[in-house]
Amino acid sequence: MNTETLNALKQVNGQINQLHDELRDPSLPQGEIGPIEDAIDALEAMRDILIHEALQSMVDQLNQTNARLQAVLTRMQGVSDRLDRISAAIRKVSDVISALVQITQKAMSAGLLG
Amino acid sequence: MMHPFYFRITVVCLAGSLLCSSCAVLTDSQVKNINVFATTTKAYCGFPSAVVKQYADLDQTLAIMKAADVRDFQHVQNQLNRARSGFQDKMSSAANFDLSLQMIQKYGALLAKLSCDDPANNLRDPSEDLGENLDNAVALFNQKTGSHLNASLGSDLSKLILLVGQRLTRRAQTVALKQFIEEVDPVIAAATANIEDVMNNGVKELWRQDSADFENFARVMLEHELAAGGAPGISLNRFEAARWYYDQLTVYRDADALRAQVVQAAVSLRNAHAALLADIHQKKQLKELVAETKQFITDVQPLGPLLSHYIKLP
Repeated sequence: MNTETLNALKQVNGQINQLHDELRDPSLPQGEIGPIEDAIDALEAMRDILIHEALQSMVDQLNQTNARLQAVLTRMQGVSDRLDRISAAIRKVSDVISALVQITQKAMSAGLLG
Repeated sequence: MMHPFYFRITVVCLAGSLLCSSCAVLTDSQVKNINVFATTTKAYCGFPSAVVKQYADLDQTLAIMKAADVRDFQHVQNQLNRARSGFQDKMSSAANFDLSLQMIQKYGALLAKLSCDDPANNLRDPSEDLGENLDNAVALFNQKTGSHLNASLGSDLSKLILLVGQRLTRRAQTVALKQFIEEVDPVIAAATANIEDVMNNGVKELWRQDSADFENFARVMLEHELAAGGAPGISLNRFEAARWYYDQLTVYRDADALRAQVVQAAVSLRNAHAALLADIHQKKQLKELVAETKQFITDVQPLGPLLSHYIKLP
């Protein structure tokens, strides 16, 4: 788990809150408003990066097992296809025998056999 | 035409294959469990992204509140632009939270496909055609040679071929299913443990921080509203402010409940698969054997009279 990123985010959030508190102070000199708001902007940008990193780290963790699972899925699909092919092959054999029986039957009817 | 002796040998061989293959076939309850598992994974695979989308929404509201707290318009604009891009970024990430579950869903679907009757039932039509043709041939053979072979010999044989074909196909399905369920169980355990960890630690911490900041900004905003001029006591503005605060707190509470539900569902998914694995392993226990035997009897019963013509049944 990305503990460092989340701790850093906590610190950045604390600093942003602190700057907002200062910004609300009615006695804040006019000249300090701009630099404080610039600092908030910069910290917010950093906050976005940290959240993005935290989420990406979670996605990476969640998807750790995907390669293993994908390998099994590929083999499962292969087995499924193979079963379909076996079924088709049995069907084909059955059809061929059926056709042979029909031919034999016709031959017998025509007096060629029996 | 096949000599009756060879025909009898064929029937005995087919019946032998049938008996040998039947012992490894899945029971109905096992197939049902597999289908229940597949359905469950289908319903669950969009849950984690929903949690992240909810977080994106709440964080956007917080960002707009922060923008309303700065004085310079350019800085307000910057904050709002960031609120929008941050929201889009989180929404993009959200989709990736479901990838592992989507794969588990595919796995569930393939399990269901491997346990279904389609490959075995595909044999039904050609076997029936064959039976009909054989019956005609037997009738002709009797007529031509004066023999007295059973008129339904052909269809009986085709039924037996069908049953053996179905059993062999199901046995192949069962062997594959057992292998895959065993192999995937630790993967599902790891995947769901990751979901638990991410939701209980990462996402929960993000929400905890957002929730604390939201309460901080909301408190300041409400205090400003309450301290604003006008007669003391209730007013529409104050009621609406209180109502908005209440609703937002409810959203945070619901969002956390959703997160907890996702964790619970991950645990259930893991347990469901473990139960599936146990179900496969417990197959040799008496209860399952009885169920399996019943299933076997159900399958074989219609063919009893036929088999008794050709082999000595116990």
